[in-house]
Amino acid sequence: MTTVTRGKAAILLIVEDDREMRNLLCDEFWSAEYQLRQAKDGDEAFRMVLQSVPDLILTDLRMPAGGADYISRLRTIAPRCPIIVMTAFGDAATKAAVQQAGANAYFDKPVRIADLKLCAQQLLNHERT
Amino acid sequence: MKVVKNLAMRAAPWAIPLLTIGIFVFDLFAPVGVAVSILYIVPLLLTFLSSRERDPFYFCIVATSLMWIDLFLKSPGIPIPYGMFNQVLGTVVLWGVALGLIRYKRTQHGLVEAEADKTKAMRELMSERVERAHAEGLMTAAQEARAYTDTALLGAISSRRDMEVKLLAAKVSLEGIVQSAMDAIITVDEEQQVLLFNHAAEQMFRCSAVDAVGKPLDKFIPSRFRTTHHHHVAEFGKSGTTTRMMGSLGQVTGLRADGEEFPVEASISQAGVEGKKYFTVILRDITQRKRLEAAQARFESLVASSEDAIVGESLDGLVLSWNRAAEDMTGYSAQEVIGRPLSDFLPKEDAEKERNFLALVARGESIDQYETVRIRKDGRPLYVSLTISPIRNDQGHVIGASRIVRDITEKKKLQEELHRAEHLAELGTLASGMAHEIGTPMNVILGRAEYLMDRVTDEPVKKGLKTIVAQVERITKVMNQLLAFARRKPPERSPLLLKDIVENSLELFQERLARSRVTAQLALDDSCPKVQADPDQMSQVMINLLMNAVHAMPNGGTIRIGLAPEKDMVKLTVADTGHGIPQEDAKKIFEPFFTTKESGKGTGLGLTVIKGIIEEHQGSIAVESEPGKGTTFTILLPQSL
Repeated sequence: MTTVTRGKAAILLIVEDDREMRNLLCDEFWSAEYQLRQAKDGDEAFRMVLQSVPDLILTDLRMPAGGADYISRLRTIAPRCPIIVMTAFGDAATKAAVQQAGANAYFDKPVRIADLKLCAQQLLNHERT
Repeated sequence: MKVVKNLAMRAAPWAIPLLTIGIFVFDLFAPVGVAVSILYIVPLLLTFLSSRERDPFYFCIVATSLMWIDLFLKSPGIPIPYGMFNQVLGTVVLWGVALGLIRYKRTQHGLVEAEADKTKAMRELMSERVERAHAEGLMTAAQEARAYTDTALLGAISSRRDMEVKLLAAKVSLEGIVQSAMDAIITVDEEQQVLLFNHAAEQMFRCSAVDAVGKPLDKFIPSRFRTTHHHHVAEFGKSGTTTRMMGSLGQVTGLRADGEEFPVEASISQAGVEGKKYFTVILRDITQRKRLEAAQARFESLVASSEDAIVGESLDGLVLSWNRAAEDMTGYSAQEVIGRPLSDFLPKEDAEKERNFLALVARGESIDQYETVRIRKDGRPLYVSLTISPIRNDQGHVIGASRIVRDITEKKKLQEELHRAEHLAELGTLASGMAHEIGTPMNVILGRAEYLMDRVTDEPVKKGLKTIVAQVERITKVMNQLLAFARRKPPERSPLLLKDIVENSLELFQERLARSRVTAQLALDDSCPKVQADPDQMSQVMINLLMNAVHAMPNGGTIRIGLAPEKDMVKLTVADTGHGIPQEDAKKIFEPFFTTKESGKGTGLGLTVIKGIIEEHQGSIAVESEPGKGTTFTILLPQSL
């Protein structure tokens, strides 16, 4: 269990219904910087955010109780929390919808994890400052 | 004796008067005393010989008169009374004798008469006998004759009876004919009074013969037609002929006893009997026929005005009827088609099917809404829906087929568009689903490879992992292009200035061009008309071409873009000074997955998609290339109207 020190470990909520993808993300983001939380679908994510708002949400789009609405709902209960959305081969329309729903970043899967990490850092830094 | 008698008889007529006169004279000169008057008896007796019965009587009178005259004339010599006495005596004697003679004569006469009578009677008897014999003979003859006559009469009677029977039979059958006739038969006299009103007439006019006979024919004609009818009949009567033409009254209106008017067909004939004219009218109630005609007319107009083609076909495939819609639909006129086999106008490959259809219909079945293609006279295809039903006659036997052909070209077009839209939507859905199902695992592969790459130091292993990553990226590209193609929305075409598209796309590439040391030269005609195109797709085209051009010139070069009108099209040219395309490859570049780029670089879909887009816009794309010199793409798009 990582010790939570101020400014050190950010609470990261990973929402992904695919098990392998979720494992991958968790493995990749597992480090001293993050305290990881996982959700398998939109409802679970919603509940967890309701309980306690994380510092960053990294979420898939296409999953049960997912979609652009889900992003909007998250936005309402976590107005300032950065949200990174990923989706497989999304099209321009999806991108637009997601961004309108309040997401801060949008990635088309397959996405390089390195890019994701970078984006996460940027957003957290931005947030912190 | 007879001779004397005859002589005496002959002498009598003149002898008597002579003697009488003689005696008178004698008497006159004789003295009174002598009764000369007695001599008067002689002539008197002579009168006996005369045939006349009353002669003696007359003589007596004469003699008496003479006597008395004599007396008065004589000279007196004797006393008067004596003379008178003599005279009276003489007179009495005379008269007595006369009377006797008269009587005797009478008897004689009577005798003679009787004799004569007897003779006569005898004669009569004789003649009577003769007559009787004659009569008897006659009677026999008469009897024979009568017998004969009887026989003849009997024969005549029997033949008359026969005749009567025949006549009766004829009359009965004639009456029977008249009464049983389906048509109303009415006979009228010159004054239009009904004489004969048959059973059919009773039914037609709903009036019994009893109520009709003796009434004027007008009773059965609506008032407004009566004068015309009279006129016609008068004209007809005058002509005296019974020609069909004259006799045909044609279609007139009859009036039933209950006031209902109805159409009838009438014909009139005339006959003269014993100087009188009789007219016979034969009427047929054509209400039913009129109704049928009206129904027929309605049906015909229905067929004529139908928007679907209605074709009547015989069981051996000949066209019997071809309505106007059929003419419009196929381009073949009824004249060209009727009487010919329908198969002449159908595609050859359908001949077998058509035969099967006819066979089915002949069995009484129908073909319902069978969709197929026909060829119009001008060669254009015609999508139709066929419904073929049997035509039956009164007995229920199938005698032909009735085809209703509906033009479904429009429907088909819509259906195809709908299909395509659905297909696209499906593809879109499929694409999205596919995207997710493929994308996520791909991401896992990619991610894990990267993960491992970070934690592995062994070079070969690292290299292997790098390969994995690269391949995943390659798949990604293809997936992107495929999906882009699958997801393309129906183009929203609008009048578009290609100039704008070109300029926008170049703007996107500005940085890229600068980096690759490629200069862009524009020859865009400002007056170039608009094209009907989808802006996104046109951008896609431009971007793709520019990309290819840049790739062809890794060491820099020039891109020349030209835009000008050409006839009723707009010509867009994108030329580069790159390495060009070899001849054998030139024709393959639009094929899917064909790429000349080294593996991993190109997907081979770009130009395929571009060509698809251009052709959907009713345009064309062509390439000219010279290896080492450059490549020029020429796009033609129809101008916006």
